[in-house]
Amino acid sequence: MDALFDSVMLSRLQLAAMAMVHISFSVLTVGAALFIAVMEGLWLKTKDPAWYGHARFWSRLLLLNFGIGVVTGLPLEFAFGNNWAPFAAKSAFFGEILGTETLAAFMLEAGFLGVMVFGWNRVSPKLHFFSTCMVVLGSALSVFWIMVANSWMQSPAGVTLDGGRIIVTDFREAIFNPDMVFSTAHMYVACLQTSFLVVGGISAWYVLKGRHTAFFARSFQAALIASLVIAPLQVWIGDENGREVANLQPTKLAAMEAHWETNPEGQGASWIIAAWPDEANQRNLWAVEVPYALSLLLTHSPTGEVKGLKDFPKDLHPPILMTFYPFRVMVFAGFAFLGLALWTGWRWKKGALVADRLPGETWLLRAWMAAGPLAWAAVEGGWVTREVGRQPWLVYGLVRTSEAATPLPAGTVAASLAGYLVVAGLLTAAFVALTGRVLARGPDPSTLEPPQAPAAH
Amino acid sequence: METLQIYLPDYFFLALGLILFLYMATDGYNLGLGIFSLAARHEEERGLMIGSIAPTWHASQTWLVILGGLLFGAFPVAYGVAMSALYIPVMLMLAGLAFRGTAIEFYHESPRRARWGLAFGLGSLAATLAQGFILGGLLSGMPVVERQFAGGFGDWLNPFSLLVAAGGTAGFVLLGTTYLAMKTDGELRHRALKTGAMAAWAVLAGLSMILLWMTLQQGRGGFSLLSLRQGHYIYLTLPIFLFEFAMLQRSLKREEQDRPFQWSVLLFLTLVVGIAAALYPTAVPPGLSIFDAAAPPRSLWFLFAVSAVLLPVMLAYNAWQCLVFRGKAGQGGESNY
Repeated sequence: MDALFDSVMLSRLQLAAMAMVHISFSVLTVGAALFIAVMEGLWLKTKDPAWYGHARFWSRLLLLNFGIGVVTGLPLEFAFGNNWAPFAAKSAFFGEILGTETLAAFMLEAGFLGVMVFGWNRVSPKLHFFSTCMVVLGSALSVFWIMVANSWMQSPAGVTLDGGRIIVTDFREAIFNPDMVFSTAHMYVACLQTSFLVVGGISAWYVLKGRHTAFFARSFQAALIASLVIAPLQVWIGDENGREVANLQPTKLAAMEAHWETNPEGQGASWIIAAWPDEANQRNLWAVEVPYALSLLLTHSPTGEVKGLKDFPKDLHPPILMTFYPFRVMVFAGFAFLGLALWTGWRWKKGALVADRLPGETWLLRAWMAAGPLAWAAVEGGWVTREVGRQPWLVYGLVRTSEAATPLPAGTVAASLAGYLVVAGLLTAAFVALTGRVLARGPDPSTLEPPQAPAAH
Repeated sequence: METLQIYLPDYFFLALGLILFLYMATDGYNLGLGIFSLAARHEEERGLMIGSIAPTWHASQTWLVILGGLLFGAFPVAYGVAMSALYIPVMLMLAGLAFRGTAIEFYHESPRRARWGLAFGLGSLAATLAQGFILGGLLSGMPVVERQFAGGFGDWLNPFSLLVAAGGTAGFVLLGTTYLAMKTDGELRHRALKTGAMAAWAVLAGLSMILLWMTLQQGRGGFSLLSLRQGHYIYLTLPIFLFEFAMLQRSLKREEQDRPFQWSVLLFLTLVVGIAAALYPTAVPPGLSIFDAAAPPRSLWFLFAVSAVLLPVMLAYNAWQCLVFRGKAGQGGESNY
């Protein structure tokens, strides 16, 4: 209950709420924009109007998603001044990367989105396709720059402390910090994976209902082909990422795995499937373990050393439960998607995915419908692991979270947090209701055929 | 390089002024239109208003995102100070913008249009008032100790900022109605122009009172226009402002096509130039200068390179998007997804 009266804790909760709401919309924007660009490109190449119909249908959903994604994300940018002013003043690098992101990425998305969604009859098809590609590029650059900023907080390279301020000594090192490459790849692929699973899940729903079966069998197949590549790719990137964490942030890794004792030489560290960590006494009350697995995963040797949490002072331990279980949600989901991709690929090989046989694959279609929500859970789980696991640091090893918050009255932050939750809750409920309405109505017949003579401005 | 380095804060002061102007001019008309939509006669009219800005409002709002991002990157200390001091009005603005933005996207998809129309109008009004309080709060002065805000979190609410909020609302209504007049025909256009003329007078009255207040009264930390190094520069813009005002009224009376909107935008440009010239080199009045607030030189160089290349490109594609959607609203299938 103390947390409710602690201004710093409330500011942390508020930032977490803003980030968790915002990310759930923006992952879809990133992947859906790419999906639409592929559909539109196929239309231009093959002249098959069905691809055009797909681009139009998914654009309509993208627009609903984009608006709420932007307005729930706007508070995040200001939060670094509002709630984290000492951090803003201290760490110029973070601000300039955020500034770069707004210039290089956000305007590119917003500056071409209007033409992409509303400009079908106003510009030539080629110019329209160019606009769609610019939105895709803008959204990809958004992921890149925000991951540069965040990964620098995880592994702050290329900087030095000078009179209480963090000064950049080498931009290349700071931008291409050790955590950046794999975490950016992990996040971008997560955006694609979530989006394609949602596209596939929605398509599966239509096919199950027997509505527009031929139309949605096509987007289902497209989502499937993408998943066959993405699911194994993401598992591999995730594994690389995990080994980076072990190198760069051993306390986060130990918390993720509830790993208390460093394994003695000649013995392997076990991977814990489930456990109940007892933080006060620095042990697990119970644990289900796979012997040698953790050493194997991280060091590729059955007895490789993995540092336990007890090797670090207690005040550097992140909260264990909030790191351990969200991580497991993400890992479970990642393997579930791999299984789903293999299952679907097998049915594809058996010829069961053609439009007239697909409705019979009831369980497969249901599994796809469940995969969308699970992908969201994976994204949120991954981010909670990443951010909670970094504690007590805001910038790992340099700035503590507790010394970076604006000394706001707790009541003010509590009120703004409550306000954010109410507004975001209302708007999300409306978003869900309206998306449901658009889906229930299905594709608008007037947008399924390309305009006869597109105006060329 | 060393000698050029001292001009970097000046460059960012200019760039931020330009972006502030672009935000006020472009999102100002969206927000003003939102406020005017509260007086729409029927739902169809409101649908037309929302449709007229649906393709471009994202880009307009993004100038605010860039304003925040560049302020954070170039003047992190000012960003921290101002955002802490203005915590409450910033939150109100964000809530207003959230309702405004989602309302634009949801309106045409919803079976309850009247409700989203109201969210569009009230959200715009709340965001506009909050932005007035933000500007008023900033111009009231903010005490700074060791690079952190050292005043009260309620300082932004005072009679002066109330006056700025009222003036700013009139200004955005002026932009919104003259924009709408450009985009529509007939009775709605006529009504928009009439409201625009009243809003213009309110802007003039509000601005005169604000100027008088800033000249005669002392802000927090004891400063007035006369105590700022170049505070008097703002008076030099007055003749230009008055000329533009007269031209605006004339074009409103003649019900000209695009001129009223163009003169309104010029009024805002003159205003931003006047305020910037008066404040320079202050980042946060009374005492925090752009040199004290700036990021370390290497960081400024980085952001200079990025922004000097990208700002012209952004201006170009934004202008192109506006060009694609030029003409009267509802003629290119704007509400046609």
